[in-house]
This record gives sequence, structure tokens and C-alpha cells, in this order.
Amino acid sequence: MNDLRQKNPFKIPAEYFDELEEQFCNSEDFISKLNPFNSPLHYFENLESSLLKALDLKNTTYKKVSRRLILQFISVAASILLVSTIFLVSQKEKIEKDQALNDFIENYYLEDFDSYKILSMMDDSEIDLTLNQIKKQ
Amino acid sequence: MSNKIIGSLLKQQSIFVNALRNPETKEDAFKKLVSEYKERLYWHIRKLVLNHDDAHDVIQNTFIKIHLNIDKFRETSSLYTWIYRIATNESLNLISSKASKMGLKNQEWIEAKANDLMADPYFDGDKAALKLQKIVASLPEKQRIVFNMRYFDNMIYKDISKVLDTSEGALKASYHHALKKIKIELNE
Repeated sequence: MNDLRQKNPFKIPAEYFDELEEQFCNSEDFISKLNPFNSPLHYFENLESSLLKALDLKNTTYKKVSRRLILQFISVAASILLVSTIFLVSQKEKIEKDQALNDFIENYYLEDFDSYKILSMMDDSEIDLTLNQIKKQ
Repeated sequence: MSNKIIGSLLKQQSIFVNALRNPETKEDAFKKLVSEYKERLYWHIRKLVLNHDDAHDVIQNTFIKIHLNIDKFRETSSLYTWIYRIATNESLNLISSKASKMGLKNQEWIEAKANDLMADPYFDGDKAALKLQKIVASLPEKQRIVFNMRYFDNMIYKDISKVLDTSEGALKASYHHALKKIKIELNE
């Protein structure tokens, strides 16, 4: 049954639909194919030159845009480079300053302090505690 | 058309496309292309966008795209259908962009344009022609394009199929639906 349903037993004359369409479209009661639109005077004569002009402008714009893009890219890259350099330099300077301060304190303790000076900076309780520890050892 | 003629036409097209791609011959070849297609393309675009100024914008964009993208043209299709495809897409893009700017659907925008035709200095149709344009504008987009290409431009389904990337069967159906609606509306 399915096979029978799929087979169309009816035939039509060759190019029937094309002829039907022509017949349908060309019947007198049907619509005119006349073009109701018009264009400005000498439009097509000038179109060629206006198109070539537009194309030149477009190409120039593309060049300008690409140059502008390159400049923008370069300025952004330069800014990033500048900021990162300043940041790195300032960080390095800070580390160097900290290191110098530590070195100074260390040297000060090593070179200028004797045992009396150290004792004078300690509380009595601290001195007692230290002496007791020494006795135990 | 015999294979020999088709072969010869393809060879001619290939020579012309190469001239369009060659920087030394590009400008002359492009002038030839513009001269060959300007009127046909203009009227194709004009029937889709209805207004002269819009048609002028679209034809400019179409030729600029052709000029910039000729290297991307695959010679498996004909130059003519490739150009028509660009023109059709550009027309639809213009309609979409203008419609969305006004907060309208594409069809609403085109119907508004059709209603303004009588005030258009570049429209000299009579009442019947205006009525036809209004009816065509009220068709769904695909049917409207197919109807214009088949009825007014006398394009064969095979070429329309390549331009719109739609099967010939679907195009025939669209065309017949459009024709039926137009006839009913005209008789009202």
C-alpha cells in the first residue's frame, strides 16, 4: 500500500507547469511588468565615476583606520611598558632600601655595641633571667 | 546550452576574474564590470528596497564588496550569481538595519516604504502599479524576493536558487504562493 501511495499514477504534458505559469502571468487581467520606478536624470552615466570615487574613499579610509589602529596599539603598548617599568623600578628601590636599613642596623650592633651597652638596654628581670640560664648551663 | 558553449563562457569568465584580481588590470576590469552590471543590479536592488537613495547606497556597497572580495570568489559558481547574491544580501542588510533603527520589523518597514511611494519623485507608476507594489511589499520576505527576481527580472529558477541558496522546488512553491496572493489581492 505504501509503495502504491508513493507512486503518482498521473502524468502531465511536458513543460506543463512552465506553460501554465506563462499563461497565468500573461493573462490580460494580470499585472503589468512595466517598471514603475525611475532614476534621476543621467544617474547611470554618473554612477560609474561616483562608484570609483566611493571606492577610493573607502580604500583611503581603510588605510587611515589601519594607521590609526597601529598608532593606538603602539601607544597602548608603550604605556604598559612605561607603567610596568616604573612599578618594577620602584619595587626594586624599596627592596634595596629595606636591605640597606637592615645592613645598617646589623653593622651598628656588631661594630658599636659592647656588652655594657647591651646590658644597659635590658630590664633587670631580663638580666636575671639570662644569668639564671647561664648558671643552669 | 551545449557543454561547448558553457565551457567557452566559463573560460571567458575565468579570464575576466583573473583580470579583476590582477593589480595591474584590476581598475579597467572593474570599470567593465560596473558598466556591464550597473543597471541590472540597480533595478534588482531598487525593487527590493523601493527607494532611490537606499538603492544607491546598496549598489555602492555591493560594488565595493565585489572589489574588496574578488579574491574570495570561488569560480565554482558564476560571477553573475555571486554578484546578485551580494546585492541581495546588501539590500536585506539595509532593510534590517533601517527597520531596527526605527524599531520596526523588516516587513513593516518595507510596507511603510511602499505606502510612501506616491510621494516619491522617482516613482511614476499609476494606481494599479502602486497597488501592486503595496501587495508585493506585504508578502513574506522570501516570497517578495523570489517574486521580484522571477517576475520582473525574468530570472530562471536555477539562477535564483544559486543566488538565494534555496532549492528550486522551494522557490517554485514560494513563487506560486506569492502569485496566488497577489492575484487574490488585485481582484479584491
